[in-house]
Amino acid sequence: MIPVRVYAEDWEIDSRLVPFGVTRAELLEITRAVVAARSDAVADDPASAEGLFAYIYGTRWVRRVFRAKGWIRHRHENIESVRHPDRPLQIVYQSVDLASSNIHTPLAVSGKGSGADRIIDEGQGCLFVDEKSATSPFDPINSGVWFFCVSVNGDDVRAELSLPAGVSGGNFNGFIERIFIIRDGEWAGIHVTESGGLDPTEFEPVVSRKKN
Amino acid sequence: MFNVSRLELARKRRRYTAKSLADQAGISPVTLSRVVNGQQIADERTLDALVRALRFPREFFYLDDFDPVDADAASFRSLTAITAREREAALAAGSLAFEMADWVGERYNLPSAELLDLSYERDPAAAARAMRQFWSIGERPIGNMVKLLETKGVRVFSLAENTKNVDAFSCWRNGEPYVFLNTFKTTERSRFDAAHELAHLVLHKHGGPQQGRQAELEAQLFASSFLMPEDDVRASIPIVGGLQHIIRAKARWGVSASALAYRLHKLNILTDWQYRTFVIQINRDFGKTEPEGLPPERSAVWQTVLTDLWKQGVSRNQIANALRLPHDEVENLLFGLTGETKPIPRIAGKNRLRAVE
Repeated sequence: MIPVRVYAEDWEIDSRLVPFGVTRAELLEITRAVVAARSDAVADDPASAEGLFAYIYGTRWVRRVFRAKGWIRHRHENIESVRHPDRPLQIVYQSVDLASSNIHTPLAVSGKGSGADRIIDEGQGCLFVDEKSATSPFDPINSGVWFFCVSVNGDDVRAELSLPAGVSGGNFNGFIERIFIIRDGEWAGIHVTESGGLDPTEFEPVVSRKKN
Repeated sequence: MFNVSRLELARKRRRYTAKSLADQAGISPVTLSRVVNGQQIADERTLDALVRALRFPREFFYLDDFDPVDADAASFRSLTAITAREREAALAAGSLAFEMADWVGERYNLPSAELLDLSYERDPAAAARAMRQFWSIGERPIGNMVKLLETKGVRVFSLAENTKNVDAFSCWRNGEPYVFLNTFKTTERSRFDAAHELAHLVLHKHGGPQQGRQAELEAQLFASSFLMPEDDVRASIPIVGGLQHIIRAKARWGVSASALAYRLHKLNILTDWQYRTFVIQINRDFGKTEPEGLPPERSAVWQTVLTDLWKQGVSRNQIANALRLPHDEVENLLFGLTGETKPIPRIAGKNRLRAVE
């Protein structure tokens, strides 16, 4: 059993995200979109509307953020993801019961089916072809099927980018790596201070002198 | 040869009626009328008097015909409040700006226009989203509206019109979009005006102010959606705790408390009752001032150009001289955008007109 590697400190989170080509601010953008989408649900909607909106917008924004960096929209075994153009690396949006907790590993709120089981097997399976070439438990893994997990429990919003070990009993069966993106208590600070979160876009027009 | 059309341009810019100009110049209205209509060639004394009254360099009147702002293509806010004289003065400023833009364009490479033609789009909010997507802004707040417009190829000038009736106007000329902003307004109002004019440029490119109130409403909705994108507003303010909450939150989008309250109401985050209460509170507590106002937005294009010209030993006065324009008109076109000069006060109404030597 590979022990889970957790990245929970600012310095290690930021550096761990480098191989993915994203920043925490961009992943926060996805989380914001998910929270905003959930709040679109009104009393007249089906009971599942919040979760459905979260899934749709979470998937859309995962793709939007990563496709802007050259990743490719991917769909396999009914799993909607975005795929790295060169490496066997995928990212899937996932609503979970509780993310970024040291005492709890996230569970998909809607459970995981056989499709997820298979793509995780395929994706993560290639990481451990044989015992000798197995990745060291302390080496970061920059391939496989990762899940951007977001949990929304009232004002407690958390997110993590994690590499599950597999699926068992209809849900995740442990994780190999977990990168905490929004930790316990952080959302309140992001949310209450309205100017936090996404920085404003800044533009600088390019002006140059014409050659005589 | 003395160019009568330029005499008319200067008269409109100075907000003179034909009669008040004749009075200021000390000539009879009949003489002026004959000069303007080409029935009489003005003698040197008459020309001197007119030039003095108008306070434009004499050489200005001997240049070729100017490029007029197409009055039908220019979109004005406050259509009902604006007087004909204010409108003509603003349009005349536009013509002077064209000459300045041409002068700068001959010397500098400026950003090309990157605007969509969304005249087919009937939903202003959808148009605002399309524009944001086209510019890859997503849901992010806009840091500086002037710089954004300049980056996308819009030529931004100041309308240093000391009147509340002229907020801003915009037009297309030779494939280049122009926006004129009244920089006397608060930064929040000016940002909203800029977004409003952007709406006219992309939504009403093929129509003018004849579209009237409907076009103005569309531009308001576009500006509101453009500056305060729905998802971001909802994610940031799911519930409003009170007016102070709105005042704290408005800085994110750089809008006025009134504009944010309006947006929140339109998004059903504020109930009718809450909205009415907040509007009354804002009017009572702040009047026409803006609580926790933002610093003015500066132009990056003008600052770059003026700094570079300065390095070459070219001052603003020299630019004015090269353009044969009064110095105050150049200052007015840049006022507030470079933040270094004071505008020349505008005097409205014929009873308050006076000659300034």
